[in-house]
Amino acid sequence: MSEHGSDKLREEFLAEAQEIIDQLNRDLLAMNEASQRMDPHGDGLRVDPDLINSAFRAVHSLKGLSGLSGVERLMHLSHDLENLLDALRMGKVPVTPPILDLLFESIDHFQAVCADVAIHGISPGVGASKAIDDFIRRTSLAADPEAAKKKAKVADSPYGDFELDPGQLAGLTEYEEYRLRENIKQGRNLYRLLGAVPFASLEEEFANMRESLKPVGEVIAVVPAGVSGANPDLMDVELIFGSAHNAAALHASIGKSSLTVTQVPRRGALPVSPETTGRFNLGETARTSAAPSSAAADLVSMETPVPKVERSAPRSESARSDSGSIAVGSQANTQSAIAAAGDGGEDGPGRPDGSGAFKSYTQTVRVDIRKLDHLMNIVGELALVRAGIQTVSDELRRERGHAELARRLQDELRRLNRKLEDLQRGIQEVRMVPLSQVFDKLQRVVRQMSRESERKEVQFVVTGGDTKLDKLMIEELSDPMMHIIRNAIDHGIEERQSRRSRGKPDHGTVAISAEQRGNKVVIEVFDDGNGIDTKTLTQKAVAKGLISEDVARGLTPEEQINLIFLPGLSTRATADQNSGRGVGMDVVKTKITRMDGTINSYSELGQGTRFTITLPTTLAIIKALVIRVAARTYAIPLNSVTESLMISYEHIKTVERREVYVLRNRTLPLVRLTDLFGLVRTVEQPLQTHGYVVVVKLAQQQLGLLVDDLVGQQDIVIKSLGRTLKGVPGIAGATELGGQQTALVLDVRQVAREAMPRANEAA
Amino acid sequence: MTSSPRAAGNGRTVTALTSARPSGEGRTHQDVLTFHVADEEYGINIEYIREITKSKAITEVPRVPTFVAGIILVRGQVVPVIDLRQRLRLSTEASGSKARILVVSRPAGESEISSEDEREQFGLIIDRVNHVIRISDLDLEPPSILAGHESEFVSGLCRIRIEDDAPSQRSGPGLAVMERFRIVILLDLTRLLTFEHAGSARSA
Repeated sequence: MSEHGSDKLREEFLAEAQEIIDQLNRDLLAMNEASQRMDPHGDGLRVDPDLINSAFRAVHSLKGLSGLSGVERLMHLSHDLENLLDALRMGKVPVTPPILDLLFESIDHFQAVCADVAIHGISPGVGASKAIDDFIRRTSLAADPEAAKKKAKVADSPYGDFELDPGQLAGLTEYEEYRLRENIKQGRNLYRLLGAVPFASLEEEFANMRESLKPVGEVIAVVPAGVSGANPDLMDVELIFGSAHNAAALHASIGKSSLTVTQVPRRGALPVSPETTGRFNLGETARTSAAPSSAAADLVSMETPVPKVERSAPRSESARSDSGSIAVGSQANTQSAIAAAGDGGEDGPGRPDGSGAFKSYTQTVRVDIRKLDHLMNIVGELALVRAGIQTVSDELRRERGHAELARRLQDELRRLNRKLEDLQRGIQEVRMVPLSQVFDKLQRVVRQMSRESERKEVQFVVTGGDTKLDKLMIEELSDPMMHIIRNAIDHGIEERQSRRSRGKPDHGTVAISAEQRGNKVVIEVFDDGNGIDTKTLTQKAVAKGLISEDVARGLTPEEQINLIFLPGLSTRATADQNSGRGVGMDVVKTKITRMDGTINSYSELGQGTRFTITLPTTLAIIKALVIRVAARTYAIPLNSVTESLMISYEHIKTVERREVYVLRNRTLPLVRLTDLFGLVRTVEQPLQTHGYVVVVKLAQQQLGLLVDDLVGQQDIVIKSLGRTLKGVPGIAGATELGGQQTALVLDVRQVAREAMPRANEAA
Repeated sequence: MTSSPRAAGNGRTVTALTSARPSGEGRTHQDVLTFHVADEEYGINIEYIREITKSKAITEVPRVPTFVAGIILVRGQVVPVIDLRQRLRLSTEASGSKARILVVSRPAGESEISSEDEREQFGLIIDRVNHVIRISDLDLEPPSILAGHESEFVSGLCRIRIEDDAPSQRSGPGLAVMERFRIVILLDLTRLLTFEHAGSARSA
């Protein structure tokens, strides 16, 4: 394989692996949160089975991915982890805090292997380490079925006194059986929900049903029962449903549905009357009349093949896993499907519950941001082409006899323009990613820190994770945020004892919130800990010679707090693993400032500290027209450009020694940038007969900038020229155009002010 | 002074704060990077040097003094580039192939509190990089011995004895021992980097 090819393979592997690991991380965090509530019935933590399933799928996908890519270490790692998660979701091993720790630890190992791959490439030995071997050993121990068996010991009659159809039971997967037992164990009632769904969208309908029924109970199994008698486009299905509600309450909650609800009777109990039938809306295509008329028992009779449904994949994933999937719309397939499901219990990727093993299981695509930049540039060039057509259109309109054509062309151009804008906005939106990408990482750090510390408890509250920022800023934000959070836990949150003595709850709170305000994003980090001791801080700053005593005396409380942004000030004498890594709040501030943002702190001693970070949503990206004049490149902010056109120099006229151009019966004053900036044409350029006029507006006045060439429209990030060069008249800043090229950005307002002093006075 | 060395971005250990102000305790040694501009040898304390780059495309900026060659981007930051030949009024000839851009940071002012990252950076076009030497304060002479405007940017002169590897001409009887020196001109960065342009007053 060529060097390039293996690089690409590595990139792809890393990108996809990272995505899966992120997902796993989110699942584990959610599990951790849910597990704060102990299960009163069981001997472990009660965790939403969907979360375990999702984590299981993530690890499973990772196993497949690493197998395909040849990262053996990762494959072993995920294999054992998968076994553990499988045992968890089957209830063979209870979810306990140590198990959760083990799961969280896996993420570190996954990351380590990925880092190794990033550095050394994919090779058989990559990622091997003692720590990982040790982890694998502990994982396989935890997933030990021997230990598990005792826990999951099932009573003689696993299904209690429920009258369940034995044939139907035989068709359940191991997982479904487990969930059934679990529901019974928790004392829930069992129901059969009968309905019909359109063949065309089976998987979606099932997913919808699960989702909408979740508040009332759990869909234990979905059993398709063949073509509906009433309508050949529909398939009758039966859901086995567990719910803590009684029949009447269930009826009330899913009242609008087209599902027929039948309670599964207990032995010796009277069957529930059919009056408890409710209707449940299955979707737009479902017909309310489609409720099956036949009794439940008939439907599930095993005379007709009852195919199994791939359990947990919300979307069709049928292509590559060859068992347990339903080919949508084909009746013939139900036969082979049930055959495959019959020999369930085999291990490996083909397992019905595993779902879509080798397919990437997310709907997202990772894109190199440079590709987006490239696309954006193409949009810019398109805008120029459009401007060219506009010129032609204008000429056409002036010609006799083409009025109708010109009008139609103008309409089309307007449409084109709108679409171009949509396209541009679309690409810009793609660059925006949610802040949760940073927050999720932080959450893991907080959990780790609070587990490591015995005397501190920390509750981490995150809101507004869906607020979006430009991808580049998200990357930049990660380190500063991490630093602030570490500080908050390390220096902010007090130990349990001193919190008690202050009358605070045992657990400290670190809260992050983000919200968009106009075109700014405001991120707040709050901790209800110690607060900043401004007195000590000021003294330290004086002692270190950072500020003079005179200055110190004159500081307002706010200014005192903001001393923490000075380099070389740490509020605690000792540095440890978590903080004091040689970066201080000064670096945090620098990073934020570089993104054109601000950071402020507010603190009250004994009450807590709040940091407020304000950032622009995009990196001050503006649209600009890039032009060339005298072999130099400039960018003109597009918001001040009304149009640009090619002119023949012979059409330039002079009025009172000033050059003008007549544009649509209006006289447009012209300014040569070469004259304005005193640019010397260094290279002998061939005498041009044509040039371009960029029409810019200032108040009511228009002005034409005469330039040599139009390069294109681009999205640019304006950078300040720095303290010394700031304020050079006519220059707003600089920008990187890609390809290492730097260009200056024109300050159109100032240029116009200089060019039209009189007009400016009037305005 | 107690501030500890901090790692600057380029991994070089830079004493951020102590260096910013002349210490009363009398620092006896300093490490100086020496380089050539035209025919002269100059030196700048290495703690101000952020990096040395091969000269890249410099973007010309209008309406600034002629010695400002333009700007470059260094890690996404705009850095004004100063042509030392012109700044020191040595020559207007273009630099050769060994020319480099020294990226330096402006020394912090007396009362200014700033981190290494916050300080403004400048590029200096020089003709050739020599090496780093350690010089003693005792070797320094004040710039006042120089006449003319060049002394404006000079913080001191340093004579360095040239140590011949080749066996030196032993002075024969009756001949005075000739010591050979070269002179390194230490630049006053703060003055060198302070200048105004057409819009300075407006923006101030």
